[in-house]
Amino acid sequence: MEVLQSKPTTDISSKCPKVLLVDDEESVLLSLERFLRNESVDIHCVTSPIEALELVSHCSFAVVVADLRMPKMDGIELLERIQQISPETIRMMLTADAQIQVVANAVNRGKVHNFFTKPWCRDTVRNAVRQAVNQYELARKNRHLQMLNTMQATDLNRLNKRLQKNVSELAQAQETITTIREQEIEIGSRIQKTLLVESPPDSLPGVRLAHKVQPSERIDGDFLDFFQFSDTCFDILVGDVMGKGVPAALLGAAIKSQFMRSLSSLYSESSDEPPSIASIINYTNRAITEELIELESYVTLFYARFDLKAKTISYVGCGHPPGILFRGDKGIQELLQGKHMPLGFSHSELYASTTVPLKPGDSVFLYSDGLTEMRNEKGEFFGQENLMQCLRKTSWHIPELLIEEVYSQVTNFSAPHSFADDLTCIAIQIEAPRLQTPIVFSEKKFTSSLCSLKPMRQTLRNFTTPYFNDKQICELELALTEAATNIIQHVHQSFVGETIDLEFVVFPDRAVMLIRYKGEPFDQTTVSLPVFDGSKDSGFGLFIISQMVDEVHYINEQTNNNCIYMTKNFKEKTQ
Amino acid sequence: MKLSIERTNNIAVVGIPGEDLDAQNAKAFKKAVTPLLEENLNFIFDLSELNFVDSSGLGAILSSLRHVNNTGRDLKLCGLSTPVRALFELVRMHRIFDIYNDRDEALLAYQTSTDVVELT
Repeated sequence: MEVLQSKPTTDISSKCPKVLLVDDEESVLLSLERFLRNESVDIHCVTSPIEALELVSHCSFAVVVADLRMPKMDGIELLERIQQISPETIRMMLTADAQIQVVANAVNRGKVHNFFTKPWCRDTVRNAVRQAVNQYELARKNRHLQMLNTMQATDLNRLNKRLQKNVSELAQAQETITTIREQEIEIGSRIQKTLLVESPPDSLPGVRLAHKVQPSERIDGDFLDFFQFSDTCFDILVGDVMGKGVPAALLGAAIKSQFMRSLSSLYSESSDEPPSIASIINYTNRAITEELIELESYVTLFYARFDLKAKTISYVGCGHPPGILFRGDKGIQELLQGKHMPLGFSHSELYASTTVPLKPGDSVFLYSDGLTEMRNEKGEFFGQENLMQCLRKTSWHIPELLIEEVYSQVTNFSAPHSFADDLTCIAIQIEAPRLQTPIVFSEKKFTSSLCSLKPMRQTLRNFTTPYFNDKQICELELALTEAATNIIQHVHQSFVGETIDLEFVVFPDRAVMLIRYKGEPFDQTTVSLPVFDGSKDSGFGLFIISQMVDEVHYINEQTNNNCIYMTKNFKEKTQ
Repeated sequence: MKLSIERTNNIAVVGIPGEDLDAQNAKAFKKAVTPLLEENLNFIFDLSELNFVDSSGLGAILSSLRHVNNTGRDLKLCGLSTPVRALFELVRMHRIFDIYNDRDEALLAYQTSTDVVELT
């Protein structure tokens, strides 16, 4: 008994299939064990069914062979309970009693797989045990495979879910990137508005100034700054940071503030006079070059100082498009060409300024390369040549109109939706004193109605009689009538309450008629060309206007505010 | 608009009143002249009172010419002031219209023309 009991507990972890033999007679157990010993199975023998149940509930047995008649619990009950604990275990029964009722009970209740009668045939029992072990092993392997299968299916499912999650995360990430990009554009544009573009000083006596900055989608880091030292001396600087987006915009802001620092440091060192522009640029260049080199960036710049007392403009051009100077008395345009490298190339670059005379009546136009590098559909640049031509056409009368004209020309030239670069430009006009060149300005407001046409002509005649001969006045009257009729009939469509403002400005050599009105801008490109064969009785208006005055521009100044600008020279065209 | 009309031998001489013929009164002129153009007559428009004509006024006169021409009759103009004449020349209408200095010249032109004989 002791021998038999010592075995099961120690070998319980053996890897061979386990066979449990249960019989209250030790001799039976010994005999069974003996002829099964050579099988590659791990045999456990117990004499008590209770003990057998204990073992079965702790480890799995391939086969249990139990005696039918045992005290306390018979074989049928034992096998029945084992079936409940471990259903896959193959159950066999030994008995000396081969009554049919007993066998039926064993099969029905104990779900016995095999039945042996004592005395048994060794081979039968051995074969039966062998087969049972195989069957058990096979079932186990099957279960294992099934489990593996299930696990793999679960794994696959999980992987699939993860993949789906990844895909949706990727989509989300992309959405986030788009949002971030939009935010970047928004931030850049805000930086540009608030940090990069300084508004010009409110009052600069004797100076008329207009500027326009249109940030591109990508933000180029164009910046614009003004430093006013006195009523007669101020600096304007137009710069462009290499690079795009928020980094360029931030760098532009940093450089702008460095200029301010340079200026205040130099100011305290020097006397009351503002520091020279060369010293400001040299100071700034030394302060920022190291950082710019590290950031692999640089800054192009046009820095100009207007000294109205000394009647000069001093400038330093650092790799930036040249300024354009208009000589009011001669009517010619000069280039203010810079000769220096951009800031951020070298510590040792010594910047020097150039000074040229600046007389009343002169104007200066400064811009960044976004303007001239605008491309048309063929990929050609707008270019400096076009810009000069466009400026010449405006005759540099009024800075605001000049800027408008340049913008409309550039926009017309460029391929649609191709505002790739920031567009920055500024026009500065040194006004001629009134005593030398009297400028007469008259204006009158009219109701937008066809009934106003005659009073308008009368007013125009009163305005212009001192300056023009009768023929010229008739021509101006015709131009005015055609333009006003277009506004009344097509823009205002005879709505009550609209008005038309007529302004008349006299220059030494010409008069300018401005017709201001609110509403949709009048688009002259949609008007068909006139037909001269008598087959059509309308469509002559714009053609007539263009022939009656020396210049005409249809300008949309801002939303809803429009202006038709016409110039007539005092000297008649020689034809 | 009150037009002055003189009929002589199937020719109506129409005087356009007022100093201006522009967008403000071009429609009124067309309304006044249209029933007259329906009459089986040749026409002379006397523009001598007009100091100012714009493209709308010109359009109204041109429309009258086309109406008359479509029914095989004629319309001649006379008495164009310098600025009005300049406008007609600018838009090449002096090639489309027969233009005379005054009524007498225009009437004379009709009398020597065979068209008038055919019409009567």
